[in-house]
This record gives sequence, C-alpha cells and structure tokens, in this order.
Amino acid sequence: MYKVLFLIIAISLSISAQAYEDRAYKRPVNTYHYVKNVESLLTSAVSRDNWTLVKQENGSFGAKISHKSYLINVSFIEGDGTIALHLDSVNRVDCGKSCKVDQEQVDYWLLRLRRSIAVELTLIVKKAAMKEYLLTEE
Amino acid sequence: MNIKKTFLLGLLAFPFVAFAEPSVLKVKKIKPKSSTKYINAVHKEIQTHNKSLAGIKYAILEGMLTTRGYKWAFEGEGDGYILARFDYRGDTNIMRIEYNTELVQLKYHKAWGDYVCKKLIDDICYKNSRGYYNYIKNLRHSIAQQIDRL
Repeated sequence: MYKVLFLIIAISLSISAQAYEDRAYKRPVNTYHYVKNVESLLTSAVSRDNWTLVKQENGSFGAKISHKSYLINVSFIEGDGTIALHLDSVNRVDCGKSCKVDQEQVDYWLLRLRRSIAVELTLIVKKAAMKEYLLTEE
Repeated sequence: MNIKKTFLLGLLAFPFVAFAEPSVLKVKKIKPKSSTKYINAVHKEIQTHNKSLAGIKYAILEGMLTTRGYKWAFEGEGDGYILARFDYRGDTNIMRIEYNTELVQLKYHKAWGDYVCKKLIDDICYKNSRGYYNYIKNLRHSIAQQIDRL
C-alpha cells in the first residue's frame, strides 16, 4: 500500500515539476494583501519590456506587444491575492517564408513579463516593510 | 473535491517548509561536495546583531533589489521567511531567506534548469554548479550589506 502511495506521489511530483518548468510564466504571482492598485502595478510592470496595458470590456486587464514579427495578447487573471498570466493569442505577421511560432521564445517573453510583475511587487512589499520598520523605530 | 484531496494536492505542489529557522552553519564532510568556501558564500548565516524583525525584513527586500548584476524578485513569504526568485536564461532558482532577530540564512527552496542542487542536506546545497554559488553569493552579500546599514 505504502509502495503504491509512494509511487503515485513520485510520479505526480515529477509531472507537476516538468509542467511548471515548461510553462513557468503560468505560475501565479502571490500578491497577498500588498497590492492596493492593480492597474498601477501592471502599468509599471508591462512598460519594462514595452508591452501595452489594455483595459478589457469586463474591467479586467490584459497586455499586448508587437515584437520581432510576433503579435502577442495576454490577460491578467486576478485571484484572491494572486495575479496570473494567460496567453490569449500569438500570431506572426510580415514574417517572410517561415511563420512558425517558436513557443519556447514566446514562453521566455511571458516569463520576463511575469518577472516584471514580481519585481514591481517586490518594490511594493519593500515599501510596506520600510513603513513598518520606521514605525517600530519611533 | 474534499478537504483531504485539496490538502494532498497542496503538499504535492510545494516543497515542505517545516520550520523556517536560520541556524549556525556547520559544513558537513560528505561526498560529493562543492568547496566549503562556495557553500559558506551562499549558505553561511548572517549575524543581525539583534536588529528588529521589521528592519531585517526591509533589509532583505532591499538586498534582493540591489543585488549586483540581477534583481531578485519576491515570490512569497511565511512566518520567518521570504522566498526570492531568480529567472535568467532558462534557469530558475527560488531561495528561502529565513530570518529571526539574531540570524538570516539563505536556504535552497527550489530550482529548474542548470542550478538544481545535486546534493541537498537540510536545505543547504552541498553540490551544485559554480554558477549557483556565484550568482547567489551576490544575494547573500547584498542582504548582509543592507543589514549592516540598519
């Protein structure tokens, strides 16, 4: 019984680790209670790599970029204390003979976008920590 | 999905963080092992000289953002620790920075790509590529500098 359970856990761990490695950008950014203004955070984050923030009809946010013949559209999915990236579409235009989408390259750009959100979040968390520190020093 | 299943899936998704408590590092004599100098450069405890927890947390975050060469990003936090993430050229490292009023210590949390630890004992990475120690020593150094400035 324990051997079967161990095997199931080992296989599940291996599958989940591989999945994350392949699509690392999908892992939600944990914002906890720190982000009061999501639009401000996303505006700063997307501008780091020349993405454009898009406000969608339902009030949520997305971003788009035109880069090296790629047109990419993403949505930001807000959860309870998280922000996740969702790839809506990727197309290539004016790409000459080969218009194949290099998914690895797209994943890399999306991971950079995730990182930009995380760096902006780090600035916010640091600001909150500094405030608390100054209060304790008074 | 019942509570038991949700709990089990949660356990599968994240590494265990049983006790986030920094301690004085005593490098074990084991094989395989990278040089003690490298291991200390990343995992040796940093003395805080009894600074406040709020101050130490601030110093860690400032240290992450001012690390030479590359900013580390906030990935999460818990009681007595902050997770710091590094994504560079297809390699990812997540370090767990544990702290209390006396010590701060960097522990290996998770990695993908070239920096997956080859010999991990108590979340101290004893064997890894030189790149792991070279990149992460900068983070430790930066945090130590910020704590000194408090």
